Order: sequence, then C-alpha cells, then structure tokens
Amino acid sequence: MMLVRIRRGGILVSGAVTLLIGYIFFMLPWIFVGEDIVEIRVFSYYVIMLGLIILVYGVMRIYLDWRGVIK
Amino acid sequence: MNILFPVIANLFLSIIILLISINIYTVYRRKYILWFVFALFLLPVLFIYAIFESLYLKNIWGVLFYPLIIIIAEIAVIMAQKNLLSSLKAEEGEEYRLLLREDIALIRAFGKLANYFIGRISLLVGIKSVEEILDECIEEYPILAGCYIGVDEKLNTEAMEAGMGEVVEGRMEEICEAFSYLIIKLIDLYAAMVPYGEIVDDMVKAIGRIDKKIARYFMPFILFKIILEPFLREAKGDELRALRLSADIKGIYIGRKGEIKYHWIYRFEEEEREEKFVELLRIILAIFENSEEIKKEITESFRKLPENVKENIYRYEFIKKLPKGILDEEKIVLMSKERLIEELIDRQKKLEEAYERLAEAKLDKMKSSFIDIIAHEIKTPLTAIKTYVDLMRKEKLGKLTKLQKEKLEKVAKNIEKMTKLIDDMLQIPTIDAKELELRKELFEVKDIMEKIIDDTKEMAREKKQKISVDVEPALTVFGDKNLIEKAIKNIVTNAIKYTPEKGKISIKAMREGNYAHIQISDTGKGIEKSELEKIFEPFYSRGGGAGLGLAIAKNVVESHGGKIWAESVVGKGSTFHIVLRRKRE
Repeated sequence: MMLVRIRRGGILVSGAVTLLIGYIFFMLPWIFVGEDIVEIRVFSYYVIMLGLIILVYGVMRIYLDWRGVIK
Repeated sequence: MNILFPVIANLFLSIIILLISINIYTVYRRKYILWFVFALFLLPVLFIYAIFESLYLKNIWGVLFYPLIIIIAEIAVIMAQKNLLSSLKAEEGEEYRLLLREDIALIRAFGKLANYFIGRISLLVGIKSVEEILDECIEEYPILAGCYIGVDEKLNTEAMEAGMGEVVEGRMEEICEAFSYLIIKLIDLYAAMVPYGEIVDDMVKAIGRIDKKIARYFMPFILFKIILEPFLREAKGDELRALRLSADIKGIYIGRKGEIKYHWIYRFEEEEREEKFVELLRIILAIFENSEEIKKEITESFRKLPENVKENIYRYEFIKKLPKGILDEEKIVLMSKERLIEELIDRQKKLEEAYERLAEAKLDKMKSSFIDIIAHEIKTPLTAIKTYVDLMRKEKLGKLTKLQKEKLEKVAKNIEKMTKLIDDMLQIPTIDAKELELRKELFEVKDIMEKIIDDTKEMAREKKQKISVDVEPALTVFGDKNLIEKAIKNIVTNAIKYTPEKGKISIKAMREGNYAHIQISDTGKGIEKSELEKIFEPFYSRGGGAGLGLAIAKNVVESHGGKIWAESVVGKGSTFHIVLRRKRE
C-alpha cells in the first residue's frame, strides 16, 4: 500500500457543475413557459453530454491512478 | 431538431461511467462506492426514458420523472458521502491512504513473500515443482483456490481476492494459516538447494517490505523461521532428536531436518502464539549445549530485523517473557520507559493536588485577612469609644446625673460584649484552616495550667466557683504551646460560664502511655446527648457567645493528632477529655 493523494476532485466537480447547468437548461422551459421547448432541450442534452464527458475523463483518471497503485 | 443523437451519446457515456464505478467497487468493496454506483445507475435509466419519451410518449410525464430521478440520485450521493466520511474516520484520519481492505492487503503481502521464493526456486528447479506445491496447498486449504502461477512465473492472487466477498471475522487467521503452509513448503524446497543462512537473509529482506499495519500477522514467521529455525537446522543429531521428543507444543511441529511447521499456530490467540514461541525457546536452551551462544545469536538476529516489524516485537509484554540473556538491554530500556510513564502520571497527580491545595489556601488566606481587617477596623473605633466612656464613668469629664451614670454603665457593658464578639471573630481563621501552622515544642502541662487558672480565676471568683487543679508532676506535651493553651482555656471558660454559682470545676492531667490525658469537669447543668456531637461544630452556641470556643479547641487538638470528646450527665455536669502526644514522635 502506498500513499496516494486523490487529485481528481477538480475534474469531478467541474463535470458535476456542467451537469447541473445542463439540468437547469433542461428544466427552464417548464419553469418559465410551462411546456417543453425542443431546441432548449437539445441544447441542454449537449451541455449534459459535455458534463458526462468530463466525468468519464475524471473517473477514468482516478481508476488508472488507483490501478497503478495496486500493481 | 434531432434529439436522439445527444440522448444516445449521453446514454453511452453514462454507461461507461457506471461500468468504471462498478469496476472500482469490485476492487475496493467499500460501501460508499456502492452508493455512488447506485446514483450513477440512475443516469442511463434517465436517458433510456428520454429516448422512449421522444419516440413514443410525447406527453407531460417527463416533468415529474426527471426531477424525481435527479432527487433520488442526489440522495444516493449524499448517502455515499456520509459513508465515505465515516469510513475515513474509521481509518483514523488517514484520508489520503488508499483504503485497501486488511484481508486483501494481507493476501498481497503473503503473495509477495511467496513470489520472493518462487522466483529463486524456479531459477534452480523450474516452475513445475512450485506448481505442484501450490496444487497441494490448494487441496489442503481451499481458501487458496483461485491462486495460480501465471505466465510470468509468479503467484497470482487476483481471483482469490475477488472471491473474498464480505469481511468475515477469523478470515485473516485462515489466510495466514494457508499461506504459511505454502511458504513453509517453498522454504523447505529452497533449503534443499541453498544453505539456510542465506535463506534467512532473503527472508529478512522480504519481510522488510511488509506494511506495518499487517506486520503482526507475520510474527510467527519471524519468530520461528528467522529466529529459531537456523539453530535447529545446524543442531547436532542427538540434540535435535531430544528436542523433537520433548517439544510437544500444540500448533508447532519440528521436522527431521530441523524445519519448524508453525502454520497451525494461527488457530490460537496472538498472546498464546507468543507464549508457545517462548516455551519452545526455553526447551531449546535447556537441551542445546551452547545455550549461551544461542542467546547471544538470537539477540543479534532480533536486532537485525527490519524496522517495520520491530515495533511488534519490541513490546514490553513480549520482551519480558523472553528468557534472561536475550534482549536484556531492550528489556531494561522498555521497563524504564514504563516506569517513567508511571512516575510522570504520579507526579502529574501530585501537582494537580498541590494546585488545588494552593487555590484553597489562597481562598482561606483571603477569608482570614478579610475577617482580620474588618475586626480591626471595628475594634479601633470601639477602643476610642471605650476610653471615653470609661473617662465619663469616672467623672473625669465632668459630673454626671444618676440617670446618665446608669445609661453609661449599659453602654460600657455593651461595649464589652462587642469586644468579646470581635475577639471571637478574630479566632474564625483558626477553625477554618485545615492544617494549622504549628510551632511545636516540648512543654510542661503544669505551666499552661497555671496561666489558664491565672486568667480565669477572676471570672470564677465572680460566680464564687472553686477550681481544683491536679496535674501529674513533670507531665509534658509535644505541641504548639500557645494554641493548646488557647484550646484548654476555651474549655475552662465554657465550664465556668455554664456552671452555676458556687459550682466546682476540676482540672486533671495524667499520663496514659505515650499520651497526656487532660480532663476538665464541671458541676454544671450538663449537655443533652443529642447536643454532644454538635457542640464542637463552629457557631453552635447553647446560650450567648459566638459558639467558636469548642470548635477552635477541636481543630487545635486534631491538628496535633490528638483527640477531644465530651461526656455529660444532664443535671450533674460535663467532662471534657483531651488526649495529646507526650513526646516527640
């Protein structure tokens, strides 16, 4: 066992924040207009996608870090 | 607008994240990761619903569905964080330490140790024989199932780790026993080709890489294989035979070549394991001729051990069990360390007590000085008043009428009362002080009695009382003369006060072994039995006075290590007893 500092917190947080922004966009039409607006919905899906990509990167990095330590 | 592309891409990404998280969980098996996995599992569900919705539904249900899923996911994340925090606390603040399970760490440590020997053996005789040994071990200990020799000619324990499941109590010992069996067999094979002395060096090196946290599980390996076995391997035939016959210790078996099989020892408690080692060591020292040399060499080999395992061995509870001549210096150091700690604790206690006493003493001092100041401040103007009243009564300041004279007499009496009260007040510190400052000396009782009679005879004469004194000649007391005199005087004054006119007061003092017994009897009205205990309490008065005289007497006598008590028959009189030490102790 070695000492490992988990340094990927920043990536995870930025991924989560982007996801949140996407979710806010997703909910905006229902909150202000009262019904779904497809354009906003698609835009929010793209924002969520960006958030998920960042998350994939962060989780992959953490996994690789830990994997390296185990071996 | 095409909504399907981003949704499907999101679904794909969320599945990747979920899979990685599941993988991380299978390696670490931490509860908090499971909560994260649950939260992440909801994301693909969300996107699958989105695809379904965009293709078939086209209704408003999504308004409820999306927030609901997000709320559930958030709850799961909160639970995960809570679990993570408590698991960090359990690891005693080692946040950055990789939170590997202890049993997995143990398997890896044993795996590394085994690989150390496998690498060497395979060079000499090929990997085949190692594989045979491993198969044999798996047959004996099914817990090892899943371990195999990989293409890199190393022991692979990954499958075994994956099969560990929940943490179970007693699993550690089971793992230790199984791996010890394997390692004993590997060492046996290796020792057939290489001198044991070299193997010991290898073992010391290998053991140096083990994590401190799990080093205690390797204690039997160190004690039997590194410390004891070298002597058995080099022992003479008859000595070894004698040892094999006499060393009937459960959990340990000694082979013909002197090899020690100790793996069953993990079925006993840790303390018992150590005791068994000490028992075997004692038998070896008793049987082997060169026991003194063995002791020296054992001490040397203990000292050569790497630092990570020394912590487990250099414990006082273990080292004190070792026979004389082994690690003697360490024993002394550890013992003195323990004593030092005990002494430190003791001193700290004493210091705290001293602080408390000091605080109390300070308070006492403040109180007595306060009383002193008040009493003196009242007494000074009172003296002036008394002087002028006396002058007026003696008509030195002019003639007085009869009425004026009468009133002045009353004033004078009240001044006297007040003076007496202030004198009593000044005695309060003497009662309160827990330990009086005593100026002890050896003095004759007769001397103080004469002085007391001198001081009180006027008072007795007023009431036409008779005081008889009977003091044994040359009777001495060792104590503070002034305070004892004050105490006895208080009792005599009380006796005069509570005895009616023409009564009798008798004072006796006699030897009683090492003590002087002083009795003050009167023919007064006596004291009720219920009152006898209370009269020595401060401010308890049976009529007039501040009720301090007897309390002071009690404190003085008890500060001298003496005793004071009273006996009384109502209507006939009372007797006060004081017992004090006659001589210097």
